[in-house]
Amino acid sequence: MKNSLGKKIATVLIFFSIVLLYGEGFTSNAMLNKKNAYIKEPVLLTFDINQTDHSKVMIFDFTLKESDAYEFHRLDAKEVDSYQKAKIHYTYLIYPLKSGVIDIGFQLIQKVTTKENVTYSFSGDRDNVKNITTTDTPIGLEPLQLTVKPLPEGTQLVGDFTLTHQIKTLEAHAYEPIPFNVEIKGEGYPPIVENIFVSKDDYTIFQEAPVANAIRTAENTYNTVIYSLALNAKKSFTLDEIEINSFNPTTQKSYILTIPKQEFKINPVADSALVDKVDSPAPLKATDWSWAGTLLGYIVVFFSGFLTAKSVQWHQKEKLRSDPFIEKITRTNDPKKLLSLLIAEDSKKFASAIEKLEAHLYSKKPLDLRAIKKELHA
Amino acid sequence: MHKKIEVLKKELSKAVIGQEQMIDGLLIGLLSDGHILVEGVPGLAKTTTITTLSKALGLESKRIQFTPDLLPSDIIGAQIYNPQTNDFGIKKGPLFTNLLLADEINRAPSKVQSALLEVMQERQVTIGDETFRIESPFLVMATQNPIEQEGVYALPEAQLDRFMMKLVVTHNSEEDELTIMRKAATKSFGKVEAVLTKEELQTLKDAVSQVYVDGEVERYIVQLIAATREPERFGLESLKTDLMYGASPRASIDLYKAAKAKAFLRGNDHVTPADIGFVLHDVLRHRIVLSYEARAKGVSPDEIISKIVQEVPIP
Repeated sequence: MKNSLGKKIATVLIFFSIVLLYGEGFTSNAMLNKKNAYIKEPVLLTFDINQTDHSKVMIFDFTLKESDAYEFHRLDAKEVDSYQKAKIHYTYLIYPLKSGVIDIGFQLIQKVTTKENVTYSFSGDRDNVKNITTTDTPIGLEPLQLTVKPLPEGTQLVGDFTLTHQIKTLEAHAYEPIPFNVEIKGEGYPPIVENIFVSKDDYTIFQEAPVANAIRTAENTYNTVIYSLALNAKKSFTLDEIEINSFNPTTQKSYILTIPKQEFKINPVADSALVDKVDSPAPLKATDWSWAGTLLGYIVVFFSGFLTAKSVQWHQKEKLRSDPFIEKITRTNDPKKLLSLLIAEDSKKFASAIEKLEAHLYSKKPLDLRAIKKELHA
Repeated sequence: MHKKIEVLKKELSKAVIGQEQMIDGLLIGLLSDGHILVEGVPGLAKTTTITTLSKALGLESKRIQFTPDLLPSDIIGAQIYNPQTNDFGIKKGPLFTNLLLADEINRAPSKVQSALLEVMQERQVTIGDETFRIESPFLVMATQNPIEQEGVYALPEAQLDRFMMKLVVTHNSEEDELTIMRKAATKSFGKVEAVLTKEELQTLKDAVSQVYVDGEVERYIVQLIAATREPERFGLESLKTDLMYGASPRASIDLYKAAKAKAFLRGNDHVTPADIGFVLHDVLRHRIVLSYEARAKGVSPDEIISKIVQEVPIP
């Protein structure tokens, strides 16, 4: 009974950080469930909007401001689905990341519209979406302040975690991989720790990115993080004890998660069993001349194409040479004979040559027979 | 005088793109009282050319589509009984015009073809007891479609001879076709106006008759025609088996007249062998009859003409 009353009093005392705002036709109320917290300790933020002017349709666009002093996750946004009596309850889980007094900022945009605009926006079908026409007003909200306490020095994880590990074998052959799994479970800030496992001279660690699974609630985050590793070495080695310093903000106590020291026995492999028996073997060929073969191939292909194109040209020239009409023109040196040859062709394309020959033969004008023949050959 | 021809050609070019050969052929026919047979696939502006020419000359033009059921009276006219006067009246046919387009002449039976060809030659029509003169100028442009051979009545050689020239019309160049396409799409062909009167046309015809032909050139014409009849005389023994009949005397007359008209169109006052050469194939190709051997070998009349031109000495 005492405990129950005490908890209630504590809860009332915790709800210190409250901001009330009377905006344009609505009220808003922001609240933190604690005023002081450790770094990475979960803090619950609730934000309520209540429309007071029911003559308009109001839509609200709310989020927290991004900051490197904290990280936040929206857990819920409950909305009463009535455009003129909007009532929205947002819930956020915040993890402070810096010590000292931090400001938790808000971004709120009030969008005012009419019932007709809303109806119109619904009148389209799926492939004809219409925007609601709204009058947007950014609302300035005072930030909430949170006092953040630093963690004890050397703390790597914050929360209540347990660690289990699994080693497949403690004895293996040289360079044979030894699978090794580490699982950290519990509630708190996600237990991702970098550089827990580091290779040393006498062994190598192969590590995948940790697989993290997190479920967020209003109280905290429940995490399961699995580190998948593999070890290998040439000789037997000892994996030193690994300690992860952790802090539980609920009990305000530090504790250590431990992976105990492990001895691994590595058996050497006989050289005769190896595929490659020589270490760093000499190259098979002294000089690689394969590029010369490729180059020769390209040259052959180039010349084949070139000669094919040329052969078409030669063939056309040969054909032209063997054309009886062209041959006759070439052989004829008598303008009259040439005129009769051109008339015989009955082609408009020789009209100009015919006129020149005609002018020479019947009007005694000078004639360049070679020029005419050249024109005809073209 | 030649300027009038240039003006006429310029006016024709408003509506007819390309087809200089057909235009020249029509003008030669018009200036030397000849008729033209045109062979070509459909759509080569045959109707457009003749209607444009009639507009540019201020002449009347008509078109007759020859069909298998056409009767001679459909083209020359007939006596029609008039119940009011209780007498027969004369209804003149479409032949009574200046420029006549006889479209697909080989589709009509021979009696209709004969009726037309008689009028072409005699330039007069007898309907009942009355004989009517066909007013000058009178030019028939008949067309033949070389593609369709089914259901046609080929013109006999004797009737083909009545055509001064047979033009083989081919498609326009790509550039000309592009211009036609654009103008047809935008309906931007120019309006053709009459640029010559009948009297001026007669003056041009008189001028053509005045074109001088030298005796040697006249002999050259006769030799070319003679070579189609007796090729061996001109060293063309190989043609003897290819030719069944040579060209008729009408060919010499038409070649003479066509060469004069061609010289006039080229702006010359005398005929040269080149003028003859320009019209020779058009005048002769429908007048020489090939033997079966030649037809079997795939020899064309144009090839025969070309061989003759090469062998007959040019003056």
